[in-house]
Amino acid sequence: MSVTVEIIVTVNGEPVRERVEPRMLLSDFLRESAGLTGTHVGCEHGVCGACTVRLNGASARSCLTFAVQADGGSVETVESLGTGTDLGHIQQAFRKHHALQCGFCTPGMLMTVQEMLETLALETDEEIRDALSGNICRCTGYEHIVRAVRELADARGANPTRGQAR
Amino acid sequence: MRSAELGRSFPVIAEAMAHVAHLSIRNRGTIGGSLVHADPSAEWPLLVALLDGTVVMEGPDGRREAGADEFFIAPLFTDLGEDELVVAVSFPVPQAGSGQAFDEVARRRAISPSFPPVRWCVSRPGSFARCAWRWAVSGTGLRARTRWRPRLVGSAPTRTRSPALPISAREDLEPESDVHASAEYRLHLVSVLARRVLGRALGHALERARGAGA
Repeated sequence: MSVTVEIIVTVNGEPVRERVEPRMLLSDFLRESAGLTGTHVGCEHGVCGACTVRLNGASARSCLTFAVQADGGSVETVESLGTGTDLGHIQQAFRKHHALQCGFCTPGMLMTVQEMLETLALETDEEIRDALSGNICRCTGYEHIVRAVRELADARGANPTRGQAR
Repeated sequence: MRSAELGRSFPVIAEAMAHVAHLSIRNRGTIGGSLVHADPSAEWPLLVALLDGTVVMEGPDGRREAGADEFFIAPLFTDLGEDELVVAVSFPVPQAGSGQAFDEVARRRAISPSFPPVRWCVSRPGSFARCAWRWAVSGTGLRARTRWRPRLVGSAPTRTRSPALPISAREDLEPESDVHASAEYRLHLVSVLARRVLGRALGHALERARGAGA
């Protein structure tokens, strides 16, 4: 019989209490225990970035994090950005610029972009590409993703509540 | 990167950290994690080799220590036992008058076993140059070849003599060709990076010597 541990993780503002095996990945916890399947699992070894979430505010690979590491902490997933009928501003920019094709990488892209907008100056497109380099899009739709982020980064000046430059 | 103390004694660490991966890895990555993963794309294993670092491991049988030669067996393969954890890594403070520099050519800043980063570090403690280099080539992931080779050069390199080092540095390199780059190109990069980094390390050493004399 395997040992289980009770953990409480605040997911998108709601506490999720669950008894889990210590080896359970945060990505599996989010998808199976919290029922939030927006977080996609691609490579499952930290390379592709599809599973990126915010853990206590900082972006993290949920496939390289054990659920027990998030005990007592807070996690934001792509579901925190908006809904299918009420897209958040990052999602709207992605839609406007056709910044997704198959959509598999999109949840991770969106969560990374959210952090980039909060923490980086993003003055040049090169800086945007560098910051996005941990997220792989197999459809290779990078041009459109960079355009979406460019617009979001430039819009920050007009609306400072949507994150500030460093 | 932000530590003033580290910047004084180990500027090469601060310099190398600017090359580390991307946001998520910078947020969550650890020095120990990078060492035990032993990815050919990572900076920390190279720094341990370059700076004569010691990896401290602990398990049911107690503590033990290993240098880079002993710890890193192959890419993604270390001497760490399955019941052991890395609990510390230590570096001797470089001698006064040493210079350090780091450079790297990589297609993207990311963790990826299939990309072929080539990198060079040089530190120059006292009267000889000690270099560690490693290159990783792959296309087959786990078959990537990696080497750490501290190499002693007989006497202090000078600005005019420094080009000799890159040539000797290439001697025992046997990179493979793959879809990302040819072996020839990788050897070329080693020479180019070696020259660049050696020049910077020498400049840094001279700067520090002047600073100490003032």
